[in-house]
Amino acid sequence: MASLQFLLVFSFALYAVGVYGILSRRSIIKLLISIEILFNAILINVVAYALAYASPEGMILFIVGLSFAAAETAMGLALALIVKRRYGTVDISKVNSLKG
Amino acid sequence: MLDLLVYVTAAIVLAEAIFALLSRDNVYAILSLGALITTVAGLFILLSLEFIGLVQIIVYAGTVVILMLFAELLMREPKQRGKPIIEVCLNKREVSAAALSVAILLLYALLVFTLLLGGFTIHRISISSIGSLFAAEYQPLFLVVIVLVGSIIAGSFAIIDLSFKKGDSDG
Repeated sequence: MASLQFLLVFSFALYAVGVYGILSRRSIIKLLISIEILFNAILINVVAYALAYASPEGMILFIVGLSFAAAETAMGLALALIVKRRYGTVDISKVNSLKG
Repeated sequence: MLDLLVYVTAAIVLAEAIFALLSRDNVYAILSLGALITTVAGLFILLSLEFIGLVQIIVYAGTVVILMLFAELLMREPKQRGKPIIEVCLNKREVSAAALSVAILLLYALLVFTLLLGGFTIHRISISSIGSLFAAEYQPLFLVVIVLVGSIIAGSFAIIDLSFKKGDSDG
């Protein structure tokens, strides 16, 4: 079976892809997809340590994290719909009402 | 053989993540995210975590992806025909983002390979141990999570409803 080191490096690689998406994408949907990729990377990290230490608590933490990821996505999509309705675009660089 | 399957699955997950971000059409990106989530569930099943893989598919692939698809269809802009499926722009922003993410990955890989010098093997965790721990100790936590998640989702619907009502009254 795969080692802890491989799972950790794989989760960090997925995390790096998510960070790239958040920094480079302007569409709200792409930002949400990047956040979901980050969540997946973090949850894989949790699972890797839970497997290494044979800890069922890690699996419970995974389920809790997954629930919050789903809720966060619902809230993010609601805000995306409001931004689209208000500004007519999903480009976050146009959302600058608070800019000084 | 199992190790090879895990490595191949991990490579497929990374490829799906990169395609989801580089794809020009948001629907393709969301479908690629759905494929990524399902492949990660397959990875968990290969690591003998069948229950976790099932939960991943039910919650993520079954809920989040469908939600995102509906939201994208509500916000869809006119389709641009004749454009390539994948867009790669080499402007300053994207190059610096890619450089930063590669730097983060290399730093973490260096930390992992210097601090973790072996001695960790992957263990099997049975579904019965998760279930008994949940039943014995973590029921209040799950009640709190259910209330919080339910209130977040109800709040998001309320925000949309208020915004649409305000938009209608403004004309």
